[in-house]
Amino acid sequence: MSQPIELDLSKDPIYDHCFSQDRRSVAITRANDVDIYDLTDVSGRPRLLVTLKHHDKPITALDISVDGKIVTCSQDRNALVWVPQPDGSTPKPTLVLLRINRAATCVKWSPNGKKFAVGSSARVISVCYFEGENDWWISKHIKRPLKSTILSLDWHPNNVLLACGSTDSHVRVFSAYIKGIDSKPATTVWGERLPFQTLCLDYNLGSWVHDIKFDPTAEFIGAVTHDASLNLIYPGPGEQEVAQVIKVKTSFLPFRSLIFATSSRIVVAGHDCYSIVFEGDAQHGWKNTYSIDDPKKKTRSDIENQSALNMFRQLDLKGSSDSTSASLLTVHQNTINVLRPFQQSTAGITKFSTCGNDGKVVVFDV
Amino acid sequence: MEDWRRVDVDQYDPEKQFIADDLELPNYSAQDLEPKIQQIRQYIGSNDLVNALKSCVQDPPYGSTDIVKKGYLLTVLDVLNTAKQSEVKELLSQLSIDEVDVLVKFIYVLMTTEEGQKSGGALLGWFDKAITVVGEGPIVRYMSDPYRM
Repeated sequence: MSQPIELDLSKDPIYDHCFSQDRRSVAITRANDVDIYDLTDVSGRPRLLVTLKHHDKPITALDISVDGKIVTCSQDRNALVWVPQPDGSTPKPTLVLLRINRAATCVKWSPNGKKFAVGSSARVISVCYFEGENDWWISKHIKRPLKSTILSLDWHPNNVLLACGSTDSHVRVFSAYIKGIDSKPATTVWGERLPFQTLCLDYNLGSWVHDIKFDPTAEFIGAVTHDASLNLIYPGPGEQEVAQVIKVKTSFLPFRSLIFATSSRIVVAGHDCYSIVFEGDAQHGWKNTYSIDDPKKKTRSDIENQSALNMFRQLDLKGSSDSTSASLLTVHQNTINVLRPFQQSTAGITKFSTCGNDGKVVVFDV
Repeated sequence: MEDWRRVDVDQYDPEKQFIADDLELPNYSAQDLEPKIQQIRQYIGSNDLVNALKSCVQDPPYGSTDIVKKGYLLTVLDVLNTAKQSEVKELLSQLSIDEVDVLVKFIYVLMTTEEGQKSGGALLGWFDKAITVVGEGPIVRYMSDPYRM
C-alpha cells in the first residue's frame, strides 16, 4: 500500500472537492470562492490556477461534469455553472434560477452532464437542465413528500433516477425524468413508468441521513446516518417496496460520507478523521473489516521526530516543552466531509480522495 | 431585535412546519407493565442481574405517558443500583450492542430525574463502563434517536 498523497490547500474548512476528469487539477471550496489547483507543476507542489469568485455566501458543494463544466451551490441560495473557456482563461459563470428561499446544500451532475440536481434547506430538490432557446439553465422542483433539508444526492447511471437523503431521516428515490432531455429509461428494479417526481422508494432510517449512494450495479443504495451506522436498502419487486434493510451499528463517531469501492465493499469516513471499510452482501450481512489510516496502528514516534524544532514549536504553541503533541495520529486533523472516487480499475475503485475541515485533500488507497 | 437567533422563522412559512413521522408506538398503561416490572423485581431478588437488565431494555414503553415512563425508569434504577460497581463491566459484556444502546438511553434520562441524581455516582459508573465496553456509538445514537423515554 502506497503512502497517501497529502495536499494541504487551505486554512479554511473544505466542504467539497472534485478532481478534473484527467486528475491533473482539483477544485476546492474555500469560503465564498472556489480555488482550482494544478497538480502537475514542476515544483511538485499544488499551484493555484484560478479562483472562481461570484457567490457572496459560503459555497456548500461543487461538482465537475464529464465534459468539464463546474457547478457550485452556496448558502446565498444560488447555483452557478462555470463553463471552461477554450483559451484557458477564467471559466465563465452562468446563474441558475433555483427558485429556493433557503441555502443550497448539495449539488450533483447527472452522469452524462446534461442535468444537475441541487438539494436545499427549502425542502425541495431543483433538477436543472439547459434550455437552448433562452440560453440559460432552468429548474424543475421535486417537492413532495420532502419534509426537511436535503443533505445528499446521487444519480442512477441511467440519468433519470435520483436518490436523496434528508434530515427528516428518510431516504428517497425519485424520477428526475425531463422530457426532451432524457430518453425513456429501461425498466430497473426501481420501477417501470417514471414520469417526473415519481417516488420510487421511501424509507425512514430513524436518524439524519448524511450521505447516500447507489451501488455500482445500481441494484440497492447505501446510506450513512448520524447514529454512526451504515444502512443498506434493497428494493423489492412491488411499487415502493423495500425488500431488506441492513443497519450496521458501529462504535465510531458519525460518518459524513460514503463511496462504493465495489458492490461488496464500502468506504465511509466522517467525524473520526479516518476512513473505515465495510464488506458484505445482502445474504451474509455487512461488517466492518478494516480501517484506512487507522490511528490505532500508529505510534507517536511515527509522525513526530523528537527534534529541537518540535520542542521549540511546542514552546511557542503551548508555552511548555511537553513533547506530547495535540495533533491526531491520522492524516486528517479534523472531520472528513466528502469522499470521492479517484482511480478505478476493472475490479472497482482503487484510490479515493477525501477533503476535510482541516483544509486538506488527501488521496488514499482502498 | 435582541435575541434574533432564537426567532422561529418557520412560523412565517405558509407551508407546514416539520412534523416527525408517527412511529406508531403502543401506549402501555401502568397495568400493562405491571407483570414485566414484577418479573424484573424477581430477577433482582434472585440476584440474576443479567436477565433483569435484558428485560429492562426489551420493548421499553416509548409510547406511554410520562408518569408510566417514570415508574418504569425507577425500576431500571433499582436494577442499576443493585449491581456492585465491580461487576458492572462483566454484566455489560453480556449485553448486545443494541441492548447497551437502550441502557445508555435510560442512564441519560435517569440523570435528569431527582431519584437518579441521588445515585448519580452509580449512574456515572455504569455510563463510563458502557462507553469503555462498546465505544462512543451509544452516545451519538442517544442524541439522534426518535424513540425517547
